[in-house]
Amino acid sequence: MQRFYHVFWLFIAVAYAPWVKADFSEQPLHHFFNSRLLKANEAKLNLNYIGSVEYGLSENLEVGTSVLLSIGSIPNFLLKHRMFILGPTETSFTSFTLIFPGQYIGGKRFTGSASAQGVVTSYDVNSELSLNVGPMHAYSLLNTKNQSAGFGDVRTQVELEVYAALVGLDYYLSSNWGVTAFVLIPFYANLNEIGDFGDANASLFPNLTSYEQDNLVLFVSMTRTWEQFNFEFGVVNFAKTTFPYLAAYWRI
Amino acid sequence: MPHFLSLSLVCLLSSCGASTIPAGPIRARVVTADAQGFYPNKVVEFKYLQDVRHVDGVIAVMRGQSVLNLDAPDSDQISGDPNKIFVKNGSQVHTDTFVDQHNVINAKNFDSLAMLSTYYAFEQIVDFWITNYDFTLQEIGKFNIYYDPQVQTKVDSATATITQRLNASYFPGLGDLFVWKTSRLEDIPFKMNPAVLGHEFGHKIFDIRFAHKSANFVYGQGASVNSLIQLKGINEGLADFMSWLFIQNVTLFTRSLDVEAFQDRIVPVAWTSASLLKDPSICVGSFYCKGSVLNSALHELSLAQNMSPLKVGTAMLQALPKFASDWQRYLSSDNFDYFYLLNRIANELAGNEKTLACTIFKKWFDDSINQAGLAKCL
Repeated sequence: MQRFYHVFWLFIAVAYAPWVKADFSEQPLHHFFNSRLLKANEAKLNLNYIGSVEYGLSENLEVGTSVLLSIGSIPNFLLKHRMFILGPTETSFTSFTLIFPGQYIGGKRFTGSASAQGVVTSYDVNSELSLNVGPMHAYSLLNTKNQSAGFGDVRTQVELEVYAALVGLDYYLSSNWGVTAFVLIPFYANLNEIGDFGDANASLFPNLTSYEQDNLVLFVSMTRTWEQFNFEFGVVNFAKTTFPYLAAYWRI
Repeated sequence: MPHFLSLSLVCLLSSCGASTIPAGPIRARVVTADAQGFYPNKVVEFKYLQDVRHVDGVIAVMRGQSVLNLDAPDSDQISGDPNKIFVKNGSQVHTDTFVDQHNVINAKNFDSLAMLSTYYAFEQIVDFWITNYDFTLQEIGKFNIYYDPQVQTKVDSATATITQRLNASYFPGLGDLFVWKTSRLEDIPFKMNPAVLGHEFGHKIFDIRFAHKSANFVYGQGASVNSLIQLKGINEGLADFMSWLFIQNVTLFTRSLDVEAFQDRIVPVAWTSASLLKDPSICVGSFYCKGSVLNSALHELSLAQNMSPLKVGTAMLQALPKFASDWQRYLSSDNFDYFYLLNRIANELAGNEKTLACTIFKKWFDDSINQAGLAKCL
């Protein structure tokens, strides 16, 4: 806890340093759960948990990848495409795909893929507040093969599919402080397992009205921007557990 | 009208249903492992099957798409009431077949072939017990064969439906047989292996002669933990022995799954009851291991000079109702053991045959409890 306060006060000191001069109006908050794209030829180097690099190929298309995951032999790519702008709303397709060509995780060899995608609409309520809403979809199909005593190679295929509604906001406290918050509300999830010993199918959220916090993904963060450099800190709450989120990124 | 025409065209191409089954005895092509362990595709004549399309006949009917309720309390599981045991009690199956130029019915797909093969195997097994051991169709009763059943359970608010593979089983109380979905790990599918099906039907024979079809009898109140374990081993050992009586092959079941747990059930086993008690790790099959000692003893007795599988099988069947009375009397005892059954079997034999049985039983059951229990055998 003491370490947290050290970091917190250091951050406050840096955030209010007199040399700060930055502006969100030039580059609004940019993340997976809103519709904003990088500008053409703009690059973003993100030092978060997965260390991603993103690049604006055009005004309407950006691509990216997580360098750290790639180093870990998990090829992956980010894609964001602006679909259309209608008045104060902007709608984009956003996706992140991971490919498992044969990784060993927990002693088992995995092949397959996992992806998350959605169509997010950002609505500018005013110059300070944007609402982000849209359907999100996550899908993974993983095959495992491991040795089982007496049975030789035993194969299992696990398919997980989740549909969720995204409701979030980006709020600009000032020209260099922004808040991002969102909740993912799953409304359909299904698990399919096919194995040599048996198959299983589980509808994970059969009762759509019984939303409990355990089923939701909650995220809140604050971002401080200094022109090209941004620092973000926040928390993610998922499955009864809260994780800290920290990221430092440059937009060049 | 255009819809009707296109439907007619489809009917023309697919004959709109099963091909006509020829009159007379039903002959079909099935696959079944034979006593030599070969796995031929052969034309057989059915004796009891009446409805090929729905795999229904005199001895049994096949049911598909059933779902067992895994969350049913034990009292419901042994009730014998399908409404308490199943979430869905299944429905008619449908085979897809065609009749060739020799008037032989051929399956068009694996499931149809498997269903006909399974039914044929059970016909052979039922006929074996009727022909050799004086069972009647009435005593056995018409039973259900649940094909590829599923089980359902709830985890929090989620409902999981599970299709088990790699097994066949008998459900006490219901008196029905389950052939589970075929796994990639199986060589000869369990549901086409007469040794496996013979074993499961052995549980049914045990159920009829020992438990009088009451699951509550087998899992009776007041039974000690030890008694239940011993009875499970006896049930498994006798089922293996009854499978051997039928198929006369001690290794055929390993053709489905050649794993250590199955290898340990090939008789004669390399251990006795005493050596198993001293070092349980010499066998991986838990209570099956002691059951295999029983199977080994009965197997040896069957092959002994002047003895025969028929003689031993008959003695075993005659002993079962008497053993049931022992079970009722002594099920709460911590010393309940195999000697009650062995004494009953020996008592069904006379003179030299009884002497031989007692000698063999004492050789295999050489632990102190069974030795004491078998002291008066001779």
